[in-house]
Amino acid sequence: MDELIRGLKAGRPEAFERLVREFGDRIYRFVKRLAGERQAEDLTQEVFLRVHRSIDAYRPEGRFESWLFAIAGNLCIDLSRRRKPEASLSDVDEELSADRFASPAREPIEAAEEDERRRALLKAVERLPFEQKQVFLLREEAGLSFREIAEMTGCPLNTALGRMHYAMEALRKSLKAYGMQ
Amino acid sequence: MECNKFIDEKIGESHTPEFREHLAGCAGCARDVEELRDVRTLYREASTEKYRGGVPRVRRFGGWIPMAAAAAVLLMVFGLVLSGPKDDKTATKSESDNPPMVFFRVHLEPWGGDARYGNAFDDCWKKLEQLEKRQ
Repeated sequence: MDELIRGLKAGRPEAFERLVREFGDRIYRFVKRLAGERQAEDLTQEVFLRVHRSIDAYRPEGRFESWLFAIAGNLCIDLSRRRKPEASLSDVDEELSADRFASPAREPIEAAEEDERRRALLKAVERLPFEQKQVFLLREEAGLSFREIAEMTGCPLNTALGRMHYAMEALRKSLKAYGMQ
Repeated sequence: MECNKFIDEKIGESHTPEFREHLAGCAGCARDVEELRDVRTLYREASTEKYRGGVPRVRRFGGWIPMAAAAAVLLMVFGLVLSGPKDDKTATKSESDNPPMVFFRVHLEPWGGDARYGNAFDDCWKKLEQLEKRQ
């Protein structure tokens, strides 16, 4: 990671490519769930451009992932302030309807049930309140600790834990409501 | 509530022997943890979209770009100076009676007479001296 950061600070293109290769998918999924499908690709690009512009300001006191996802989170917050949240559930439907989870190795009924569970879970994540969703995604996509999440979102540790608790409860209930757990 | 709090603080973190001991003696927590693990596992299986936007093109300043820009500016300045006043043969009578005024004197050897620019500087310098003498 140190080598990547040194390369980014030196402005080396290969370091920038490595950054996108290593974090592109996670950042994309993070902003997609927070801001919606339509903006996700543009926002992901914007995250990387901002990293490029402000890498000199990065101080290695915290983890790089924490700094990176803070940029992504702030971009999503800025966007959500500028506009009403889009109906991104339809995007999820659209994305998931393309047999993304289909696996020819499984029995058709079993595979369909499994796909249905995953689809239901992603819909439930989309429905979470913004703060809960942010904590959940920082935990699951960014892999940050709760202390890092609390620092990044500017809330006490207990608040971050509480948001995660409510998010997990909501997800668990939504799966139960589908009779899937 | 005490148990839930305990789970919240530990879920996803490295499970300590203390936590495992607690789970062994608390059926409620064990069930909760199992369900929460299922949710997380399911989410990780479901969240698999790939970023297809490619690497954004980043403009880098440095290297040959500023050099090329500086060279272009220098060429423009030299072009303006060299193509400015005509010599005495082509000048009209009125122009020779009233030679063009030189508003500024440019120091043309900022690099101490770089061999690459030597001839051009010399030419410019001579032109300016001729103009000043005529005045």
